[in-house]
Amino acid sequence: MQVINTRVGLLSNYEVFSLLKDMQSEHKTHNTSDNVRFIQNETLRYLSDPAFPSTNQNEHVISSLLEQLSQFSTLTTAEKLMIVNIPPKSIVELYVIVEELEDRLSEQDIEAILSIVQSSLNHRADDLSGYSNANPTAPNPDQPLFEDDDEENAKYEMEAAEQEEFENADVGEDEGRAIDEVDE
Amino acid sequence: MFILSLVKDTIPVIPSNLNLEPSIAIRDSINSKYSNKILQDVGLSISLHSIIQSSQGYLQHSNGNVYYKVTFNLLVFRPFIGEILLAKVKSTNQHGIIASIDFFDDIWIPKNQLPEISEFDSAENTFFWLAGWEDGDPFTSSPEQRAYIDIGEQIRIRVEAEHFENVYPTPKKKQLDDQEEAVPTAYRLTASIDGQGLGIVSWWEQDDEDEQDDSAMDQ
Repeated sequence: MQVINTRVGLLSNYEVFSLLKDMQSEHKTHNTSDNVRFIQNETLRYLSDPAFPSTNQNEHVISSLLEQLSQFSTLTTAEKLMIVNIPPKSIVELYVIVEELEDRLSEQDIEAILSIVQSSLNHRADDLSGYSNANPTAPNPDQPLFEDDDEENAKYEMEAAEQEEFENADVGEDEGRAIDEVDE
Repeated sequence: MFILSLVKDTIPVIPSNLNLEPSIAIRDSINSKYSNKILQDVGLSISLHSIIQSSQGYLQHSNGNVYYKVTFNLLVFRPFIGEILLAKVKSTNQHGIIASIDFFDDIWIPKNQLPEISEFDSAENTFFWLAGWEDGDPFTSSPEQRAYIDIGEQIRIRVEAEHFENVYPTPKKKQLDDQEEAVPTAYRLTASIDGQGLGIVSWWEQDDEDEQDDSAMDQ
């Protein structure tokens, strides 16, 4: 076994959910080992929790949500991924996802994001059937919605650096600050 | 919380599966080898995502398997540092909380990552949080003032650190001898519930409007 690339891309909860759902329906006619069945059922159980929107999301709701979020250039890919996975319904939920929310976004921006998220949640409740067929620009299912680019790798390395900082707790205040500044 | 990892491996297809489409037989073989396994420095592998490339099958003289050299994407659970996850409280002890997300139970929330002024109530065997407590000893508070973190409740956590460890199998006899010793797990996460919006989900739902007022006032 050889791991060529640890992180080709990030996957949203919805992508994992739909992949496992497809597999599960196949399993009824197919013998699989216990390990496979266990992890797939448990993962599906976790993602079926009412707290997650993955059960009634689809590619188009997500890509239109991402398109609308792209106007806020300060949001990182990771933050957008979290907005898609656990859509914030109130300021405090957005506050958890976006670091230093008040400094990076104005009050109007915050409200705009919340209303975009809210409308995308309503949308999928309204008409899901309209989306499921006839989609000329359906995203390639093999292509993750969140491509891993260099910037993202840089962020990941930074996070690794942050973790090191976390592990040796007596790193000075100054160093921690420097990492924050790169983040912005 | 999920990533794709590109992996290359030689995959055997056993003779009884040779009547299947090669892609299906390869998929099953990959899944039974990798599903629910922790790959060192990669994460918890969930299943095959897509096959990128495969060689033609090779036979060896020693058995009836057909071997394929396959390059494929694995679906892996590996939250990034700082990611927000929803989890459930699995158990608590006086040093901290163990959280679970159904398929992964090794999330540790140490006591120092709980919200400020949290204490362990040994009678209830859970932690409680006193929001805005300023009257000295936390144990003088009445039960109504305490926000308990009960087992089974849904909590929002932030991943603070990840730990990979090489775990070697121990001989059976030794295992019996040191049953007291905790067995290390190959992949663990350390998380925090200290901060606005973190912790039990319903804490923040009830105070929704107050919170909005508060943050409006802060600005």
